[in-house]
Amino acid sequence: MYLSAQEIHQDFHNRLRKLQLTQDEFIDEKILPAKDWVEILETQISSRIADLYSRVYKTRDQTFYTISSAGHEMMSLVGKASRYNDLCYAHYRDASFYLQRALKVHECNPLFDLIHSFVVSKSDQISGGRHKVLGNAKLFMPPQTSTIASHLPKAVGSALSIPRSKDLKLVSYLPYDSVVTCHFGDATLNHATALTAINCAHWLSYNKVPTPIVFVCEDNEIGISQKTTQGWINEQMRGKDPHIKYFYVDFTDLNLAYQCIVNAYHFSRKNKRPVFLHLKMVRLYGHAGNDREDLYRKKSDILNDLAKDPIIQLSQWLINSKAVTKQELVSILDRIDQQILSIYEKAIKQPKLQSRNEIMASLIPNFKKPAVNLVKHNLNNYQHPNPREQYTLAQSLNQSLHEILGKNPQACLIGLDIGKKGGVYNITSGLFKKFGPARVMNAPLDETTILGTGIGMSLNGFLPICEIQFLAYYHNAQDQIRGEASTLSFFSQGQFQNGIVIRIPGLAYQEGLGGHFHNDNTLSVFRDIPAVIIACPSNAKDASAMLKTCVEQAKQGRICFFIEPIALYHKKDLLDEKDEKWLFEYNQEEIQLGQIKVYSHSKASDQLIITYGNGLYLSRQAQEKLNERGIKIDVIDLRWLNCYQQEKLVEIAQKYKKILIVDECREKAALADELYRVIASACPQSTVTTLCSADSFISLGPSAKKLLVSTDEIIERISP
Amino acid sequence: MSRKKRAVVIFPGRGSYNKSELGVIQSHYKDHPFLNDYDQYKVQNNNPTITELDGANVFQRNIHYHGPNSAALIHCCSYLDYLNINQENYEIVAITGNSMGWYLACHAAGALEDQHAFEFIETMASITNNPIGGQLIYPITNQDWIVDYEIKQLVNEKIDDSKIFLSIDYGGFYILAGKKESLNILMKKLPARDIYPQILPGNSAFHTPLLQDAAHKAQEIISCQVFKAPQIPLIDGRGKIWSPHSTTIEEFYHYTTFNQVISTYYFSLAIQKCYREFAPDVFILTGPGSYTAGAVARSLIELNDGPWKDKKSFLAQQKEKPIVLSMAIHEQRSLIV
Ligand SMILES: Cc1ncc(C[n+]2csc(CCOP(=O)(O)OP(=O)(O)O)c2C)c(N)n1
Ligand SMILES: [Mg+2]
Repeated sequence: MYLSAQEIHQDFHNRLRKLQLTQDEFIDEKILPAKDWVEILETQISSRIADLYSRVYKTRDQTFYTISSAGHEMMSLVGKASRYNDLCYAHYRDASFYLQRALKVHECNPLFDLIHSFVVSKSDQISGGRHKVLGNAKLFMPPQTSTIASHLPKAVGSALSIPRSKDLKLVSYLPYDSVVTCHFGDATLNHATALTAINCAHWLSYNKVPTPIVFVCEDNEIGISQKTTQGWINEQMRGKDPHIKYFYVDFTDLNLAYQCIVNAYHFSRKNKRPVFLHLKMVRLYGHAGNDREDLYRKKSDILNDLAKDPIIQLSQWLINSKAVTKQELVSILDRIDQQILSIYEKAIKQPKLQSRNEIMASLIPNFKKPAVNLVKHNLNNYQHPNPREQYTLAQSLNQSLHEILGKNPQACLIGLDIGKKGGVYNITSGLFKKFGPARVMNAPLDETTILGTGIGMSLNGFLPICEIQFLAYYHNAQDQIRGEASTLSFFSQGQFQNGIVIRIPGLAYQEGLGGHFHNDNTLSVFRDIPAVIIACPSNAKDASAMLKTCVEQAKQGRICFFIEPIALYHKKDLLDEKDEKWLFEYNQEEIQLGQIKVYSHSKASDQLIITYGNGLYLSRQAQEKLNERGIKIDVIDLRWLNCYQQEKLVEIAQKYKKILIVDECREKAALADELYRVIASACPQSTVTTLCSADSFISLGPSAKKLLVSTDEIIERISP
Repeated sequence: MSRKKRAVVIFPGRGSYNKSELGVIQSHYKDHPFLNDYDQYKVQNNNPTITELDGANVFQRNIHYHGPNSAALIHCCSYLDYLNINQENYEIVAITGNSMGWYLACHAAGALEDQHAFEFIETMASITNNPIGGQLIYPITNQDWIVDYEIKQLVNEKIDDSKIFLSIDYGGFYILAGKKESLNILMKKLPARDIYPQILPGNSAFHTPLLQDAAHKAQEIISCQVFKAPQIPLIDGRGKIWSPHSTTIEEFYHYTTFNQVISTYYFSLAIQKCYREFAPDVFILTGPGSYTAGAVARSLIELNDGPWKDKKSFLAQQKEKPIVLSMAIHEQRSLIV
């Protein structure tokens, strides 16, 4: 039963050449003209041939990733029925959809695109040879790679943003009357990420929030080797109708099928409501080129699916309807086969990415964001506070958010309890009242939803500032950033951007609310993502400015984590009660990205502490106390945990004999390791040591202190 | 057995039959049945024949540049060239053309029968014979044939003002069009580059809304019935591919007689699309003249993914393994016929 790549290719040709005509089934020209059906057949054949050759070239190591669209070619009908500017998050089996959509934008080169993506040529217009992805800026298709379900939450966010951009009178990237079309497989519907997105769409629709999205489930009844029981998809979805309107298409009648797909898009567009479009497909030739489906599927099942080959079916219908003759069908097949082979032959000779720099060039977007302009909005919706007023960190963040929302009509907040309550720590107090529910949004209780909604809105030109209630609750949702947001520029050469600021209260030392989850003290989860920005302010003056810096960076497409040390939110004093040395004025400026800050008492010091966050506060205490004893030390606040000015840091550090790196995080997951590597190798004359917290979860109550770096420990290290 | 070379055939536009082309049809195609047919058609309508025009002793601007005459000369020459391509060696995988060359391409691809092509081309040339507005040509590449984005931007800014239109994006040149007064103003505004900007004498503001009436007239005179689906894929002035079995005739007719008459003709894009989507081994440029070969070259250089980066590397590559073959150039022609 196992056929080689060449044999499958030959078999497909044979079956089309020796087409058996079955019953008399005819296309209905009132629904779609015959020529349009022939055009659809052409994109289907092109898609199949491109896939089949991809397997052939794989045997010569000239393609790398052979997951194919074979059997899913009825997605051409979806490409036909939807608009080219209905934002599409595709499934990896959507080559025929892609080819069909590209017919609507003549300047596209869809076959060239597809094949250059298969061979990871540098000329691939979307990823520039970084991955086989389906995507195209002119076709409103952000690149989609392979993680199952991860695109669904952002699809809901994009959908939500369309009517909202109209309400807020923003000129957005997506047309006001567009819908989002989001495609995935049947097994994927079991994934938590898919379910949360469906839940969010359901929740929005139930709450009468306009959300024009069409979920397209390409149901081939299998996920790699595991069967999806017949009826399961329907079982999952039927209870959500009418809030998510359910449409089912099995393609036995092609006229009805096309009409139903058209209706589904029309319904969503007109009513601005979510639709679930359930499409029956078959998967031909295994999950991917290297998958031996004969090892886990019954031969009869495989043959059954082969008998349902959509291209054979459409060919039969078209011949019956006299839209093409058998001979013409063969000539179409041969012409396309030669055309595609010739494109491949050129494509494999095209250069691939050659250097580290070349590959990394698109990690950070260097294009300006798609135009987002405000039509009518009062730009001066903000007044600076009295400069002499003194603020806590929490107050300055609140003020800063007022400034950001006041000055940026596209900025919006998404989080839990950030509305009327103003957040657990009052950081968002007053914002709901001032800017309203369209811009200050309480999300359903799910972090994936919060982040997914944010990045999906960002793609449409919004400037989302998401809040994760506590650092520990980021982890369940991290893939939205790690797999999706942060890779978008990389896989699209910056053509798509989803700049965002994610505010995350976290780190330890909280006295009131204790325990591990409110004192989570590792930032590794952010540090291992390339090209994101991690900001961690230690005081009110820096915080407001750094938040504004992040906002400006997000406008340029950057992903910014803004880590807020909860324990410092309401701190007023440094050494003694009522000394108010931890209150600061509101900083009206921004701080340059990466800029570090030196706290120095005199030029005479030969000891340096490098730290951030709570560590800065503790080190400043130590600095003051040691000063009283006549010992001078200097302290550096990194402020930016993965993009601090490294050269400047090294240059400063080289002047000191003893350098102590103070890191409040767990020692096996601390930034201290990286800092040690950087500093120790650059300062061979100095003694470099580190001081971190214990590698433990944080306990509840006063005992927590035993695990954490303390001021006394710092003093002890400096002056034993 | 070496396989046939994949060829895209390109038809040139207006202005390709000039003084130096005089006699070219005679020299290659004397007594060719197609030429005889064409002559006969001209006789029937009391117009000078191709043989007379091409065989004239001297090139007379008022006669040879007269719209219907000039169009017929170009049509006849290019179509005969097309028929002469050795199809043992070349497989014609797609056909395109520049501006008026679109009509010739339609004929070659079988979308128009010979007689219909004669009529159609004559009609379109007659409708615009008394110039409506005008055209000027201006380079947007530098001397190395690389797009100069500053210049391009500057020119694009001029187009924005709704009196000046981009008529043809012609491989490294912009052909701009508008009413005579607007063009005169534009002539003064564009920085002088070499001999440009240059007015193209006698031309209308083709491919602009100024030709709206002409387009309506064309639709009155020419019926949809004369069109058929092309037998070889045709690539139009927007980069759209018209395939043999999926072409909707009404759309094709509307595009040809109306849309392209009043909107920009993106010749560069058509060439780029052919190159990428059909992966040809060569482009064959039919005569008369070979001027368009440069435009093809610059369109390909702009893609920046072939072996050509600039004029120098293009010309070097042409010597080694030519990508554009002009039938009006003797040595290149011999490779084709
Ligand atoms: C989060 C995640 N888990 C696992 C995988 C590995 N994987 C790739 S495709 C696939 C099956 C998907 O099946 P289905 O959704 O039915 O799509 P189909 O391939 O059948 O079109 C799995 C498990 C993945 N890509 N992402
Ligand atoms: Mg499946």
